Amino acid sequence: MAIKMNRRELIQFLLLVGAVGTVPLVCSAPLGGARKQRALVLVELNGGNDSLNCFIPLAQEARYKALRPALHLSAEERVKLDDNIALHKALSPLRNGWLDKDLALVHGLGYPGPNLSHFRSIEIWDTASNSDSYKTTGWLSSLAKQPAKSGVDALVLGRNSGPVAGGKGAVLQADLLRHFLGKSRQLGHIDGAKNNAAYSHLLSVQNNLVSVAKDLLPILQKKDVVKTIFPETLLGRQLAEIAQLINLGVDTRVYKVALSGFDTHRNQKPVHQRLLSQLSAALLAFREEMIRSGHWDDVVVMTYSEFGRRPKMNGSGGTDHGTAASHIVMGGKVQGGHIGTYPALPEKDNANMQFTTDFRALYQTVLDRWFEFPDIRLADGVEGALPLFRVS
Amino acid sequence: MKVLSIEFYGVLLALLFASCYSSLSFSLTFAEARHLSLRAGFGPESELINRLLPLGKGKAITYLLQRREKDFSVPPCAQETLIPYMQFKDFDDEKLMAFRQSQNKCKNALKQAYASHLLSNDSNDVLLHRMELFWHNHFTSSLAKVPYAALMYEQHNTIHKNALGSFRVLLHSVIRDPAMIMYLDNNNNNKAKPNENLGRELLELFTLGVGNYSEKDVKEVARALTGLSIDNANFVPRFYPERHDYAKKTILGQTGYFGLDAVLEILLSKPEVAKYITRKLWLEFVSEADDKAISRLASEFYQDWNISRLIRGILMSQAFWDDAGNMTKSPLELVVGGARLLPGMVPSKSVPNLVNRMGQNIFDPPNVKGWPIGSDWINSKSYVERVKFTEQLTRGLQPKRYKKSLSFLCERGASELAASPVLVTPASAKITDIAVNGEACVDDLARVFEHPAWQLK
Repeated sequence: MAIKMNRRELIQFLLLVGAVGTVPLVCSAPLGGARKQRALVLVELNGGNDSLNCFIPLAQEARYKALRPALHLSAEERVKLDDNIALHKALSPLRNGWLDKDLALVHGLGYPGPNLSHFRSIEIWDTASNSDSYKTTGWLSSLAKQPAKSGVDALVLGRNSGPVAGGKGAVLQADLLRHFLGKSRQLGHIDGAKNNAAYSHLLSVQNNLVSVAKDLLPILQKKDVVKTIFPETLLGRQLAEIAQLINLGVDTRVYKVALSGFDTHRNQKPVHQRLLSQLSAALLAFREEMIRSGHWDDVVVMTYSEFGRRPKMNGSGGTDHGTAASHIVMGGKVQGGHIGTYPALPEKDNANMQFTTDFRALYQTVLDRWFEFPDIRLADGVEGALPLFRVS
Repeated sequence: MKVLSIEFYGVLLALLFASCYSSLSFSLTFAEARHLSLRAGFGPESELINRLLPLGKGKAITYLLQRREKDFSVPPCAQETLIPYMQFKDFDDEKLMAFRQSQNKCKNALKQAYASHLLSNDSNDVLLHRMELFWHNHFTSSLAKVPYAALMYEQHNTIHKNALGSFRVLLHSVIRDPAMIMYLDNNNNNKAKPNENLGRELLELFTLGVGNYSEKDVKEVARALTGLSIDNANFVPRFYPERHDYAKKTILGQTGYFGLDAVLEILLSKPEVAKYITRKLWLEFVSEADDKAISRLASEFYQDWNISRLIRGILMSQAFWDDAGNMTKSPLELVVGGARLLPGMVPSKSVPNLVNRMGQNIFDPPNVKGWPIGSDWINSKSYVERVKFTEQLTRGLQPKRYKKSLSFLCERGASELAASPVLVTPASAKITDIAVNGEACVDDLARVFEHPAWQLK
């Protein structure tokens, strides 16, 4: 492969010589033997996930029960991981990863001066800002310093492109890729004025669509690439598309999906159970597929949410907005186990938990150790030194 | 001497003429009328443009601010007596399922009724409609959470009545609105276990905005709102004294035995509220904030909370008139605007689905902060839907049936309908004789609609 040709040019070339369909468009092993592209799959739990009912602190069970007389999970409704933590039963598919030591639980994630507004707090998590400072770019937006050959630096399936927005990178957002790539292929490239911000934005979206559709459609249409059966939920189908792209060597660095409905102010138990089942089933299928196709070492999956919920249940069988929360990080290179300290449940009834790990330490660790972009600093005094990855 | 005097009069006459055609003049230029129709309505439709053209700016704005019509008529299913909550416990699964299905049907009927109203030829209060949508998006509630379509209609009607009136009246009415009480869980807010949802959004989204209150204020306001709920038998707002926390509260530095009205009056005593609302409304009509102008308008607004006067102030500002083409149409503006240019081309039945796919579900914003604004409407996903819609606008259009519309749309050249015609190159030719040149007009319209610049206002 001495010809210097990026993937986009390669595809165009193949189209010209009529070789499409006979020659694989993207090699599943990277060209030139270079290291495979590492990817991050962000899973946003939209609305503020009640992590206290996902990862039950067994050491604090008495207080947990007292705060949540009608909402705590009994021994039958949970699955024990070890002496410290039990999982919500609906999350039991995650136990595979826990036992294989490629799933870490990062506890007590939060930040000083927690903001309890959905919008402000997700903005803080998306931009990795301080509680009282405002940033306009997502914490992953500068990854585009080395643009992806696929033409898509970040693929956002579903709502909220916050973590990747505002940078120079090409962000593609859709509910499901296959639904609209066909349509966008019919658009044409337009050059235009740049002194009108609204118009510039329109043109960049249109022009990006034109080039991306040309590239990704054939990759997405390849049959029998993903062999694991994914759940027929939207999240399941989205993760299946991501698996297809990763399997075929697309070098997009960030993928993001979102599951909505976690703002459980009332009647939380059945709602939360259903959401967690959807989440764990889709994550299980994704993990299995990545292991099967040999890409599990190239992927990190990470959940996040604007906040945890109030330890004390409210009067409506639900929980109000809270602060610190535990989150899941999984992947072939992830060092499984507990990271950080589970916060103490508050003594005052309506109080919130104190965070024990700054969420930006998690982000910074991903940037430093996973993407190896140590020149991006998210916050003063926050180091990316969590023992998140295997040393190998 | 005689010659000089003729010259003198000539100059005088020329000056007189010049003043007639400057911005001080009595009539709007087409570009001005187009701009006003795009920003304060749904776009340059013929009847509106023809009404605006002879007027000056002030009179044109007065015309737009006039209210001429009643609210749209409620679908019959939303007029039926609501099933009281206590009856549900006697329902078996099948009955519950049937109830849910009938309500979902009714919710869709409501969306459709509103869409038809927005499209209707008889419905010309375009600025009122824009403001209904603005306030609905400000005081968000959603069909997804409110159990009855009838209650969302009722809320809409409350907004309809006050959308151009007094913000004070609007605020007091909306906080007592049954759909709002349910959407933000105040029916579960009682002194033993306060639910902060309504209290928080009242401060954060409805009045003060982030940064002008503390977490303590949220908790105290929530206590003051305890007991405000709905009657489970007939769904009217009802105050339950036994659920109310009668103890002292300290809210924004004031201490007292505050209830709902007292809280709202404390809020309305804060200039920050006037500033927050003025700024939000400014950004509804102008692409960039002008802090000086906003400050000036806010201090006027603070005197009387008169929404119409505030809108007039914004629309009369130079910043507004210099801003053509710098904003992005919302999905409803794109779809309703397009449909109103070519009546009958877009079936009103398909409108709720169309705008939903572009990110704007009627009566159902994605969350309490409401729909996106500005460029946030446009991402790869919504953009594809938008372009698809503009293609459909002219698909199968028979020029013979649209002679009148096409004459208006092409007489200045179709590209003149875009917010910023210079972006659409090459500029359209003027087409006058539609009986002969109908096809050419349709072709050119299609080109203009499908151009990215069509997404601007």
